[in-house]
Amino acid sequence: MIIIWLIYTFALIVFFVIGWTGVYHVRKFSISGDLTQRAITLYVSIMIVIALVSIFFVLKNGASASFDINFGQIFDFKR
Amino acid sequence: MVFEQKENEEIKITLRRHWSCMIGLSVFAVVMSILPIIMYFILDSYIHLTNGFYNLFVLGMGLYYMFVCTLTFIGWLDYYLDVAVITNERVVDIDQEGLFNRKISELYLSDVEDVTGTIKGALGTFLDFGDVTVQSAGNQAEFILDKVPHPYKITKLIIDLHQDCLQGEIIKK
Repeated sequence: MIIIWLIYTFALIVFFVIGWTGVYHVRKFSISGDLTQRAITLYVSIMIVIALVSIFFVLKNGASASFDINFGQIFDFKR
Repeated sequence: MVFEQKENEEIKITLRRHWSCMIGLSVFAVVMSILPIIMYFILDSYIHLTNGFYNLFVLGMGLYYMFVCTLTFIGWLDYYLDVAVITNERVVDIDQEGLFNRKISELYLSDVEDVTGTIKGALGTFLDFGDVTVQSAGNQAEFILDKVPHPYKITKLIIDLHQDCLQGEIIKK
């Protein structure tokens, strides 16, 4: 269902906007030579990697049929 | 820039909270990171994961890890940007609370009336960290540097600097 992609995209935007705004806001408080700049780069990289990896796995698994589900299909118990 | 350093002002020491204050955050980050992996294997052993469930799970985990990553990063910033700077003229205490709240207080060494170093508990005793409380003559009654390493040395440093400051004023007069 398209609605799940929309929710995911919306959540990503919220994370990136709030997170990055805050992170770049605190950048000016760093003392020269300290770890803040490097930590910001690491944080931003991790966020991008997580977003790309999760989207990659979903697309690889077949995004077109991926969300055509109901709760009966989700909880397909083995026993 | 953290604070405006004055002309002829010399930074004696820059203090952050002791590293042991980060143990809680580190444990939180590790446990929260491992939890979904354990959950996945438990679910996988009881439930046949359909494509739809798998995709929901992957996207959910993506958001979850971003959330954990953001919380950990904010926690680290809270620790790392909480700085106390002791110069030959004043003590500056910078408190970072979350991403958007920040408090900077400063106290001139000439206003210092009493300095107390406190070490509490077994962990503080073994790792040598505690609080330094500076009492001033001004409106701000107490100035507390939380969980700094070597509190007794810091106490002595502030007292020595205070005396140097007073002697400097006497010589000027």
